[in-house]
Amino acid sequence: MHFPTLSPGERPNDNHPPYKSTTLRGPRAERVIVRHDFAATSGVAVERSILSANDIDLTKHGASEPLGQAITVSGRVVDEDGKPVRDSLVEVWQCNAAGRYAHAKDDHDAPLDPNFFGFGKFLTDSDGRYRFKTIKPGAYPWGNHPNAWRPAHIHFSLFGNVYAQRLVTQMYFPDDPLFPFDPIFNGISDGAARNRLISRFSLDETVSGTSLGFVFDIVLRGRNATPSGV
Amino acid sequence: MSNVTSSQTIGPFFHEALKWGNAVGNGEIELQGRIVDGAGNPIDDAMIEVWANDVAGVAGFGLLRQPSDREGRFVFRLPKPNAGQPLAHVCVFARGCFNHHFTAVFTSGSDHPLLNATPAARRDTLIASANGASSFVWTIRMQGESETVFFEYQ
Repeated sequence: MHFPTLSPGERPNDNHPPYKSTTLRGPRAERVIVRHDFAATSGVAVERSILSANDIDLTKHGASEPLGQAITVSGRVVDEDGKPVRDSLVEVWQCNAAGRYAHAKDDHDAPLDPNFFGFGKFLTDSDGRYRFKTIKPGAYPWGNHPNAWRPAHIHFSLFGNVYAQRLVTQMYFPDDPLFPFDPIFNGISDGAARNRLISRFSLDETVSGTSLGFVFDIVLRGRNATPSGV
Repeated sequence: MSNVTSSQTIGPFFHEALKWGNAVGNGEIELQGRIVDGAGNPIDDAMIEVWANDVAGVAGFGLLRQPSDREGRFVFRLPKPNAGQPLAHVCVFARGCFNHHFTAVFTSGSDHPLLNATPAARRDTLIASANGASSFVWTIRMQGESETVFFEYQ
């Protein structure tokens, strides 16, 4: 298995002054390029026992239903050859409908929702597919620059099948008016790569009378994977 | 141009979501780590993942992870590595980091392809210093003269 070099525009620049926190935290030296077997070492072995029933339904973590627009997010995780990334761990987290995280460090003056905590986890299935239910997260202000607001997003952490496939990213929603102003979204200078982080609305995935459906397909790095089980 | 999904920062609000998987390990080697920014200030909201042999009761490589604390510190208890092998393969995430950063931590005297691929002048950034018989100290520096080496796996 190998991991073709990413073009500069599809990997965010580690030093991107509009996102101020990169100034002291983005490495300045070039990465040291290596070919090493460890990159293709099988990733985290996850026992299904860590997963509980409500890990894929973030609306079921409180005593009653959370406030906000109920949605499902679904998609398929594949590698660069389009092969499914099977049985791999995905973690998600997000703020509530008002734009507030259930997190001690979030000091945004928007209400917490006692019925929403905003985190879940699941494994992809044998075809790389996943699906979870949640509420649509709100936009929220942050201190990067005057009147800075993050577009609504859901954080994704993916382990893939091997070490070098690890990915942490953010999924966005279609037609967000905040896109042009967000230095994190725009840290990806290639427009096509940036747009791949935007989920699409799907009437097929929309559950009548219940929840809107959004689809977010994910491509992890890596080509010529060993078929699983070989 | 590939069709790969790009990375975005882990941000500052991951702790509650990821804490189910936090683990220090129970090996005989203690790794006392610290992560600092380009001004030498502690990074208090990083997440450090380490991969080492035979951790977490898993045969083969297993994952441990910890968020950094207020002083930028993190601790892992790792199994004794086989000769030449790293104490751990390490992956660093933090607010202000658009991408995760792969690195590794070794004890002095190790001979390993990752060290050999690293320019000699920068190898020290991957070596933890002994602090007693079974304890090692290592600092991850995101920038500066002794910026830690980060790897690009091909």
